[in-house]
Amino acid sequence: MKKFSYKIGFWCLGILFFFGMNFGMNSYFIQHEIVGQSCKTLIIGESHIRSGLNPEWMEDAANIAQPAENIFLTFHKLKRYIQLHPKTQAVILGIGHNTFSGFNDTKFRDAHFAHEFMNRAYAIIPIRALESVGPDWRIYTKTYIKNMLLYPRKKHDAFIGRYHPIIQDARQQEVDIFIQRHYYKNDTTLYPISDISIQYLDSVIYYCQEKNIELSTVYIPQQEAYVALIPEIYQEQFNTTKQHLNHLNIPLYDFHQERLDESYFANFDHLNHKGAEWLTKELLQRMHSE
Amino acid sequence: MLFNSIDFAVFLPIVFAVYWMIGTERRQWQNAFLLLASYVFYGWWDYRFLILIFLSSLVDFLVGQKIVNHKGKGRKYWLWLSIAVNLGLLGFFKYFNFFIEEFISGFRWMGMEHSWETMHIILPVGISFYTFQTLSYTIDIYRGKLEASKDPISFFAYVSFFPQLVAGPIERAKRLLPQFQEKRRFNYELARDGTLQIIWGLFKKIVIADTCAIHANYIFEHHQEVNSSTLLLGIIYFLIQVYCDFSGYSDMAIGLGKLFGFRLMKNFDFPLFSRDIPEFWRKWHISLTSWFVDYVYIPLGGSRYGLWKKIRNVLIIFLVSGFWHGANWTFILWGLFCGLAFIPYLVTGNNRNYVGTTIAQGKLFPSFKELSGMILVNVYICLSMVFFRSSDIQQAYEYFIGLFSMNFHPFDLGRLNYFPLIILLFVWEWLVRKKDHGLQIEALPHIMRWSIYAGVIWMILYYFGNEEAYIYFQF
Repeated sequence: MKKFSYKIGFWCLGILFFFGMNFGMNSYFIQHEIVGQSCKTLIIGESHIRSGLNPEWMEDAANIAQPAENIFLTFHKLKRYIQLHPKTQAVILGIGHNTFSGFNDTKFRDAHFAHEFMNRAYAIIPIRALESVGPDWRIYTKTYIKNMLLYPRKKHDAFIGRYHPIIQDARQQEVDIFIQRHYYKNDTTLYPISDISIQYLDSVIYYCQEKNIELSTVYIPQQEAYVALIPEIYQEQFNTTKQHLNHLNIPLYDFHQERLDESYFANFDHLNHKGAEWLTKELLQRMHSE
Repeated sequence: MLFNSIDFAVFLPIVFAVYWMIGTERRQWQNAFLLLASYVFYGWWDYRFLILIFLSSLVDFLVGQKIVNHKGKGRKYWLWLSIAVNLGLLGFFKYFNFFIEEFISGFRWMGMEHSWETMHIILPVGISFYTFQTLSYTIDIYRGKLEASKDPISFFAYVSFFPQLVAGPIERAKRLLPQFQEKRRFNYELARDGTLQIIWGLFKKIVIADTCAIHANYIFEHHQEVNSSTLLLGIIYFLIQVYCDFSGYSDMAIGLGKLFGFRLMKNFDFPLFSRDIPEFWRKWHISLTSWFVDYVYIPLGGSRYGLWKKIRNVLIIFLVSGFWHGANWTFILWGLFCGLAFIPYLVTGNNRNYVGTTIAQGKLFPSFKELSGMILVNVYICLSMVFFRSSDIQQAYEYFIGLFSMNFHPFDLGRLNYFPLIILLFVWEWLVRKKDHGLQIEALPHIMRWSIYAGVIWMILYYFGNEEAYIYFQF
């Protein structure tokens, strides 16, 4: 029994030592890895802004938005990015009615999203901060082991996105499917308003103020059929947010009721490449005119 | 609790440490602790399942006593009580809805509408395995091959022994029960070998089966959208998934048994290296095949009453075995499909050609005859997997139509990404085919052996994460 315990212990220690070495190296790489590019203007948010603003038509800009991103993750990405690129002068944050959907609160525990979200989060979000979104700790542990303990890897930049034009034409799908996905738990029950998202929007605002970064918010154009079906509680919440931003002197460039031709859209709520070109130029014009 | 879960990774060391701390001198306490641990393990799925296993164990323990104490017809009545209770539980939980649905569609076919309701019945995990295990106990007592246990703790621990409770091997009371009734001393070599067998089982499950499942699931779900070459890959991936999933589980079960001082029976003996169909069935799910032979085939007359009865009995075994796997016509067809391939060997008297020998015995490579036999066996078994995996006969039919439409172009090269891993596994299994498991490699130099252990552990950790349930849990 003793010999067996010693051998098992020896192997366990060996594995722990191996994990420890990899952890040390990966922590070093995370600390010293330069991810993303230094830029004056940073575009951040979820898939709407990711496919809606093309940084190529802007001066010295980078779009690091990622699909399905919630504002909790956006805040931590922003912090990490500014830490790495302190010369950033302006941040353009994509927002919309769906920013405040309770659906966003499930992303760190929903089986469909959690693996991807943990992959984006493990290098930038401390465990204590993660607690507030009630994550699936098993998935977190597995992601952490895979990324930090198994081998030394120099790249830990899964949280960095880029401009990605959507070319897929999904207009054949029903508009209800898009609405359902963003706002409804099931056929009839709405997700509640996400308090976490409201709080973290403030965190983004205060962080930018603290770092003297000019923050602007953008709501991209959406099709009329989609806008008409946005549930009332989300419309009310968005109006409250609008007033709040106005009160804090944060510009909101709201294009969501802009009536564009269908040829500008990839689907009901995402622009295509042509739409992105229009929006980017239109936004720059509006910003310069103010 | 799955063997490949974090819960089990916490459960096992605790149970192992407490079990051996109790000490070999207090065998009864060890058994009681194993019983408790097994009930915790089983109740982890759903505590209500414990009522069934307790009931099944209690009935068979009491019936065992009664059979011994009675003479004449009374013994038979008690045996029938045991069979009725066990098969009744199995039939209700596993087959009730199937029969109701079939009756309704049968009446509808005859123009009569019936609106019998089916029930929402949860299939208790492992019920097919432990009912067969307890049945073997009462039948063996009835046949006078086994003495009834007077020790309820040992008997209850035997029925619920957690390493093999939910997916076998289906142990015979004659083999396993005496091990509960004697002192178990910690044996370093046995525990070491058990640990390596657990690691090998985990490797097969996590690294091979769960990755093959990704392709197999996709291809079966999209069988109408992909071409013949992809459908072919689908059945290959599924066969390897089933093999590694179930033999991996068996390896872990046997390895765990060794950790606690028990020797469980071999359940898989490298079946994919079989040279003909009868050899395949002697090496695949050995504990179930031999159970059916002992408790169904032989009582039916076995091979004693001429060729036709022999064929009938073999077909019955395969059909029942198919039905045992699940309440679905696809499983019955699977059984029939496999049985039909067995008949020619039976008729020509070639069904025992390869008993007691290993492929390429004493050689590194198989002969041409062995190789061609092996390929034929694998092709046939791959085809049978269409029935095994399809959700209904319609899907199986569509799958076969797609497969034999001979539309092989373009070949989906992207789906070959796991093939190097699979080839590596089979090359390795070929090299160790005379051993009990893939990590019995004592003959290799220290450094090489330890590098292999480390590599295997690393791959398990790398692929770990999905916690896919074992296929055979549903049976």
